[in-house]
Amino acid sequence: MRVSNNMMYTQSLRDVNSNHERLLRLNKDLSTTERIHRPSDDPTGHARAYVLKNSIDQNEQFKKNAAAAQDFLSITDTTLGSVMNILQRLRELAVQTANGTLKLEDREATAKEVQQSFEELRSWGNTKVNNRYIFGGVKTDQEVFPAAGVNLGPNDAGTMGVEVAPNVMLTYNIRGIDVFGNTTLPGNMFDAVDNFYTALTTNNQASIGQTIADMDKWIKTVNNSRTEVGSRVNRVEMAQGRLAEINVSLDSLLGDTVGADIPKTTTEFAQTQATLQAALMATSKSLPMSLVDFLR
Amino acid sequence: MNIGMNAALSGLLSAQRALDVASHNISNANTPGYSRQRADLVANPPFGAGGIGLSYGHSTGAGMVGTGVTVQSIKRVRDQFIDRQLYAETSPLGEAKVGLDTLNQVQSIFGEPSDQALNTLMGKFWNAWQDLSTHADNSAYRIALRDAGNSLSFGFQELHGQLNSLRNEANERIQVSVKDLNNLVKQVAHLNQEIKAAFATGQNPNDLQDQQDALIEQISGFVKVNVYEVPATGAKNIYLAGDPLVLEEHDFPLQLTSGAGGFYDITVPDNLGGPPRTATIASGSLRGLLDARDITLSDTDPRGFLTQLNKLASAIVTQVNTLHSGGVGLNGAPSTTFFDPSVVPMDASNMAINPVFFNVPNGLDSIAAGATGAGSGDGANATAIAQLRVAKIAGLGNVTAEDFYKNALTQAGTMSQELERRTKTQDALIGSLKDRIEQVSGVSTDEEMGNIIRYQKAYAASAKVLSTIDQMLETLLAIR
Repeated sequence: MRVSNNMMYTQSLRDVNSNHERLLRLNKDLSTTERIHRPSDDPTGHARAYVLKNSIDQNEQFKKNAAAAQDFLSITDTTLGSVMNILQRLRELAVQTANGTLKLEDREATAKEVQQSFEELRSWGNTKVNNRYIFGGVKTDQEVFPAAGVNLGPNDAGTMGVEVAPNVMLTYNIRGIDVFGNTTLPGNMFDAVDNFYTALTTNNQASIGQTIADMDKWIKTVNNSRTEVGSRVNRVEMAQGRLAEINVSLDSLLGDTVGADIPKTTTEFAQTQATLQAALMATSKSLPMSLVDFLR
Repeated sequence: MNIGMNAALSGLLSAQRALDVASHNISNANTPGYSRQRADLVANPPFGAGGIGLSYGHSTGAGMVGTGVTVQSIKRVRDQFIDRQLYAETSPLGEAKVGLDTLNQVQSIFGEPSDQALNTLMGKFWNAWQDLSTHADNSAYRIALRDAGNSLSFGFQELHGQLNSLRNEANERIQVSVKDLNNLVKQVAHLNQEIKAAFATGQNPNDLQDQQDALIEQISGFVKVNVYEVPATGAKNIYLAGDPLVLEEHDFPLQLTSGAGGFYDITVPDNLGGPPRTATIASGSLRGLLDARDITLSDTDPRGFLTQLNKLASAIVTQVNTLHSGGVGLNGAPSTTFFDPSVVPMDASNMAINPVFFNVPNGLDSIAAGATGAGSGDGANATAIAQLRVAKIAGLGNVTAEDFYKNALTQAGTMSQELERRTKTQDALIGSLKDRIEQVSGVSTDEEMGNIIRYQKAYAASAKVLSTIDQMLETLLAIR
């Protein structure tokens, strides 16, 4: 084969260049520990990583949604617990005062406590989470039980849902009507407390007996709501747990898809480096060789 | 003895000429496109022994007596067959390189995978709706949503702007390329003229032919041409799919006519005096630029990335607007569209959110998170809009917006991968063709040094013959 000067140069340069190119790619893979830097590096791998990333992103959002629901539910639960305590205390008082031997001044003291309990119940009914009234349904910006007095509105203003998993909606609020009863109609919780107060102040023994039955009914109602809240908290927690698990496996899949195989890449890097060194060495020795140097 | 002297003289002259050629070769060892030249030496016609005038004391009947050497011709060493292959393979390389370049830029513009690119912006947009669904009464989340919508709109506009300027750049490059090409064509025609003149006087226009070959190789990079040599004149005619670019010393430049949208059409004049016809650009970098402009970056061709980007933007705008208009804002008023209703039609180039949302103090109230007028905490409509993230959209061929974008990215990826493969194989092929050309035509300084020594010795030897004959003559003349 005839070898011309240009051939020596261009071929050596081509080999050195291709080694440099490989080294650059491996260098990038190693310094980012990823092997897909743009779609063309591996179109199907990129598409897979894209889907995985978006799934992870969606799940993270669902976890965030679930956390918001959880906040709401846990405050609802403690609030219902406090309401429950008040109702139980009222029932105790009703049982005590139902006893005919009680003196008038004892009844008056009890009546004061009942009045206080009424206000407490009202204030629990106006509980807020992140500045939202929790029992107002979707009317989260309006006071649920505005002022003393019984006619406080129906409090049935709808439920609020949140997506906690793909297409799984969870209602995270308990409507006021389901806890306190319809406050536009007689027979709601505040009515019952108010009746108790009236019975005490008017010393109406029979009516106090009715209060015990009322309190039993409302304790049951609140208890049902608490159970409902508990089961929803369970669902949210389960959903969150599952999402977390799914994300762990999605994360590892994503890592497998886009991550560079470090041992393999390192080995390849070392090999390429050795080849490049050899190519540079050979080029440096062979290129300057010329007959001219040997002629006198 | 006269014959001997003449023969020695011809030896001297030939050696000198051959040295000249070697010197020329060495000087041009690094000249691109240069083919090494060779002095073809032939023996002079001999005198027939026993013929007339042959009686200088030589014995007769010994046969023909040689009369020395002469340089018959100085020719370039070139294999035209490899040249043809080189021209044929150069055009596809030019096309693939431009295509690859375009797609790499498209990929850079999309900038995926990244946490700042369009996919992330879309995800943030949908997530902002999710966040709003649980905090519909909280203005902080409304602001976050408005800004996510704004970023998404800007993201689309930015991508559109960058892809569009890449497209315009391709158009400008077409114009520049055609000018360059016409210039090369003109030079080839001019060289044809000189080559013809040299041929007519029996000369070998080696260096002119080298220049011409290099020009034709450059032309092949722009566009696939057919080259025919006219044996009688040595001129080369160049055709572009049947239309002449060069006929002998005449050149027929390609013409640019400004078409729709300021885009250039490449045309050739009609021989029969009709209107100019669209030139057939089969391959080469010009083909690559035309494809980049009219297919890859098109906003009308369904394969075009601008088309796809616009489709995606319009689909998101339409879907979100439809749901948003059906919802209720905090003000309880019938809702507006989420994206700017004054921009019609809306696509990626002009995507913008409803400016109402920027009004102080109540603009944000117009964001329709609720499904009914029930109350401020209602986020049902926000949830419905957020769920568009996984909705299969008919206008996008029944895939989700995210998947549609993913498919566009995959298309860019596979196309780029394929072009990279083609560029590499084509590059290797051309590398080996150029190696073959070098093997035949390249200058080896070592070889030329060898030649120089050879001819130097030949020169010295011929001189020695002369001095020997001189001595012989002196001996003869010394006889008294």
